[in-house]
Amino acid sequence: MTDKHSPDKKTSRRKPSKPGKAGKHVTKSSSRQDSPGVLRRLFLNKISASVLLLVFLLSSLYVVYLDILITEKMSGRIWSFPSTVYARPLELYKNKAISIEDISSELDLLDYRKVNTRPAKPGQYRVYAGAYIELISRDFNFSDGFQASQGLRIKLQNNYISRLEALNSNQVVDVFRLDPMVVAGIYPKQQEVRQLIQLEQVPDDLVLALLSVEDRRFYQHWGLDPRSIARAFMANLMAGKTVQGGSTLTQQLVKNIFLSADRTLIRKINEAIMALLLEFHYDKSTILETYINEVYLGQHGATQIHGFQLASQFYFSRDLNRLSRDQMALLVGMVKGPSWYHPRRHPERALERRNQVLALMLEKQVINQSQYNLYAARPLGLTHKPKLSSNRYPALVDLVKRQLQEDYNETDLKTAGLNIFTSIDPIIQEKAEKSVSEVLPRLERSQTQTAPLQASVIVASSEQGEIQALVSDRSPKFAGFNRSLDAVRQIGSLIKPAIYLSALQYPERYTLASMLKDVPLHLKTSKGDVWSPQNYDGETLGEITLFEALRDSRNIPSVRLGLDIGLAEIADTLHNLGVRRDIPTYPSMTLGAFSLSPLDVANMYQTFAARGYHIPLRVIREVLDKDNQPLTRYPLAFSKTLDEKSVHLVNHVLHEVTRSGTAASLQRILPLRVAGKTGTTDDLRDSWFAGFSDEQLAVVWIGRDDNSSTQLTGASGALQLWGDLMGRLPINDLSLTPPAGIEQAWIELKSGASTNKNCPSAVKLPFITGSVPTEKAKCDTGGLFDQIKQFFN
Amino acid sequence: MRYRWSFRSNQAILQLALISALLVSLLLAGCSGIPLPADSGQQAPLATESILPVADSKELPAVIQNLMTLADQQYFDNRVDDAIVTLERAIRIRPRYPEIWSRMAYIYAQLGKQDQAYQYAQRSNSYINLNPRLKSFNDELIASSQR
Repeated sequence: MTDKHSPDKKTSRRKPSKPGKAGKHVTKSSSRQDSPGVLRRLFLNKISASVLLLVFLLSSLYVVYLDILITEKMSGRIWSFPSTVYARPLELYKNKAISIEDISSELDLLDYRKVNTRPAKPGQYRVYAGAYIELISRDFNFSDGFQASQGLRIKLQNNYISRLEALNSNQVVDVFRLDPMVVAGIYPKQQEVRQLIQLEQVPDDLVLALLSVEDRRFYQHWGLDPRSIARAFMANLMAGKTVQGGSTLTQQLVKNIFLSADRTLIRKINEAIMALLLEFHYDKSTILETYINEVYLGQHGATQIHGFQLASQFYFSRDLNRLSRDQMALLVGMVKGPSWYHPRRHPERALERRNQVLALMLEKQVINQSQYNLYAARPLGLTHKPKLSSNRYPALVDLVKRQLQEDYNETDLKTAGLNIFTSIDPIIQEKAEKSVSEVLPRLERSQTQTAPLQASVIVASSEQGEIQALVSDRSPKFAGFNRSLDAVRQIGSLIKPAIYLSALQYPERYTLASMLKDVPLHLKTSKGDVWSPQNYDGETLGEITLFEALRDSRNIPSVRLGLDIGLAEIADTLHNLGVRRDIPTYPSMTLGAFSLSPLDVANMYQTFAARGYHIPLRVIREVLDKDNQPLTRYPLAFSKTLDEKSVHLVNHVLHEVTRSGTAASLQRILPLRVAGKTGTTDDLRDSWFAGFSDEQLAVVWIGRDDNSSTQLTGASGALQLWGDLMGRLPINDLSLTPPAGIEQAWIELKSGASTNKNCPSAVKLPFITGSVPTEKAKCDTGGLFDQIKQFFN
Repeated sequence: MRYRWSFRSNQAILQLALISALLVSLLLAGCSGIPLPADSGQQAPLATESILPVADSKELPAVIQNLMTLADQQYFDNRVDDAIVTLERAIRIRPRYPEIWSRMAYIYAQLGKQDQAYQYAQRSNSYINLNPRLKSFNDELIASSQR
């Protein structure tokens, strides 16, 4: 930094100082003579030193800043694990109702590989003779213990498992759980999908191929590789443009995580410093593992494909450790330019690149010549449909997240690597999605409206209240407004079973044979207006039995009954049924003029399906930490909130609704015993159906987002979708076994009096013991038809 | 409605429960053996004791018998949480067998969770067709849960 033209410098050169007095003298003399110059020199030296110090300090600070950046981001990358949401494991056992197609579909969703010969490896299956499935399951760590891979042979007959046996010994197996499907990952970033894999699970051949292509001296260098840089420099110089990169894997990782793709000198310097720092902090295995999980390998819509494991799923629909070497070579080759070598968009370019990688693998003796010949001749072997299991069922996963957020914070969900086991049933979910996709367009065919219909479907197990499927959009994969949870709509006649249940809890006052008035009703509201409820058909029938009033969903008798029982009591019944919202107590609430979400309705009808036991609907079974240690269990919990006998009476009528009431049209599409209730709101804005079999409860809502008319009733809309869905499920006739304390009696419908089975209009109805009407009907056998009927009876 | 996966606080109760269950099982050894289903193969666990002091129905399907036997074994191996998981599996597969619900009721009673014991025993009763011994076992659990 000293000025070479300064006289001071010359002077000092002319009079070299020697040690000793003379020197001392000369120095003193010189100092005295050139004191202004010396001062200036000292001053300049001080400035130089200060500038140097400042530069050093600033550089140090910058390096410290980069260091903090690296350690913070890397620790986040390395130690944060997304949570994984699992579906229920499919239980296999003799007499399970399931079709061969459903088992195959489950195995496909589980990414088992279909083979034509007897399966030889875990994760393979074959279907043969139209009645057998052979498979080798994968190992899985369940919360109650490790289940080792096992070979199984399943024999199916008439959509039932007729035999389950071990593949090798042919010995009967009583019960077996398949490994559960991964439904979704809960990731730190929304658009960045990743499936983490540990280094020891990564096939050695992939690592060797990657290092052969991208960084041969990875284990020798310390972040930068001068040899590679020199080689790249020479190659680029010779070519007159950039043809080769000298970046190490560490530099690439730094660039991917921290820096932009700009080719500026500053970025390059940063990259070099950070690569050194990274190597200083972390060992080679950590860096390699992070690279393998971090590397960008393509785009799918708005979703970035990061990491070899996810890329393997995306391009080949299988785990990384199940790829063949040519498939590994393709992925490794893509690192150089994921868009340029995208195998679906540029298959020829990708094939050429793959074969270049194979050649390098041959050169490095990862493969031999005959293997090279074999692999290089193969096609790319991509799956046709990209499968991303990041979030297969967005609305369901939203429900899972919301339930988890009651016990876990957002950060834990995204970074603690929780294993969340749920009741999601992929077979039912896929069928529910299919029903929505097929039935809605059918319903729209005769419509004049242009706004599309929307739908929500919730399916739960009847006895356990476990949510198995949930669809919240006509495009089920669309992760938008979750109508099943958040669309709060008027429920119309779905309220009626709660009114009748309230009444039937007083057997001394009300039975199914009680007569209700179906005559015009005018009520003065608090505002002074007059409210006159109407029946759907606009007619009044005089007097009808309570049984008929509910079966046929008559409005006027229902309002009268509700007012008689008391609106507060009906609200109490709704709460006992599981509705958690506030219920208004104005007269029109008896016709369902208040709003609930489909999930609220499902909670309400669950209690009917479970015969008076209220089971809060749940989707999570248990949560394990990343080491598979149990954290929280959500056991089956329920309480008997309603009298089983009264619920049985209502359920009996709900079955009649589907046989001869407002949902009788169901018989055409689902010839099975089920129970349910239609619901329609003013101006046909909402079309509802809630119903159940012994196995499943399902609630369907159809409406429009702008709340305009659907032009559908509960029966012509939601019921059609419900019937289509239930027809796809392996359900049996509803058993409707009466609980203790129920007796049956024949009733004449026109009078509600006791009669005998030979009488016309006689129906057999259940009664709480002791409440059978004592009044006897005069059996009317006057008509010829009645006499003939009596004769045959 | 959930509970943390920890029964440490109930260890003393659990030990007492195990001892009493063992004594009851010994007294009723003649009728407590669970017959293995005819078609059960290598998968059937070999439990020698049953949680219930009442013999299970002989008409139970092999899958339910297998899982209940496994749950019995887990319970007596002091793996109570696993026994609950196993019984919940059985409930999902065939919910209408009262023996499963009674086992759950018994386990919850031993864990001091009287409300759950009460609900499970009631639910078991709702599925009982003809099994007076199981019903009286449930009724005892219901009565003791209300004390």
